[in-house]
Amino acid sequence: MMLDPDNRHPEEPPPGEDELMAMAFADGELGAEEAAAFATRLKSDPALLRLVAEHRALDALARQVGHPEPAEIDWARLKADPTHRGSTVAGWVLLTASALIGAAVASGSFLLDDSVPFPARALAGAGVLGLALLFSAVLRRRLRAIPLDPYRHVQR
Amino acid sequence: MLILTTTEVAAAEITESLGLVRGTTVRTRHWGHNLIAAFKGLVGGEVHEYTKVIAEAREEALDRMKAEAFALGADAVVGFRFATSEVAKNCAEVVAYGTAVKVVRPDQG
Repeated sequence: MMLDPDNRHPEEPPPGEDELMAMAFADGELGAEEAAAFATRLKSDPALLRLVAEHRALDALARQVGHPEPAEIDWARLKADPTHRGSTVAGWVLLTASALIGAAVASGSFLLDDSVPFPARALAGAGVLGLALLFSAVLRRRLRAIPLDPYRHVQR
Repeated sequence: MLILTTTEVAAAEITESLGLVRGTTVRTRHWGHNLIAAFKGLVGGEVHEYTKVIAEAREEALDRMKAEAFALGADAVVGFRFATSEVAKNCAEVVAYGTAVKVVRPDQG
């Protein structure tokens, strides 16, 4: 970030060419040739080297004191809210139970229905069993892969 | 490894271009997250479930690209870019790509 020469204290002298170059160098804003030439100058100019070090230290300090993502704590608090947690858990339990029981009842009533020809019931049963086996294979693989997945904890 | 969006490396000279390096991944969240995300779509605001899946995909694609660059013996990747698309509903496809290069800093001779 190039410092705006006008954004300084009125009594502070405007930055010289060297200071502007040092800031641009510290921020990685110089082109390859310009940066190489400046790096060569740094070897023989301790004052300039100190200037670059000061700007790098200021950059690091600014990053440390800068506010983190403002919503981080608020998100955690909202997520931990008892009402939110309670309704989420209850919602999942009810939804999962109704889906499992509903699927079992629907499958059972169809497969045990004598009015449906046996080949049709056998075909439907094989299809349901096939889907269940495929899903269990995918689920098992995922569960085994979870500990090996280093990206699960990336938040944003 | 230095990953730059620029085509040059400041304070260093590119001595060799090693070619294109890229990393790709497609990730998704489980059905439960997609359901919650669908509800969030009704009320607005950030959909964290999808923010997270994009972030996961971004990091994984980036790491795969870095691994390819390491394998080529690169010092840096320049002209780095991300590209995204959707290959399936609720899936995040991220491609990270750039040019692997070898660099020499002036003080290294």
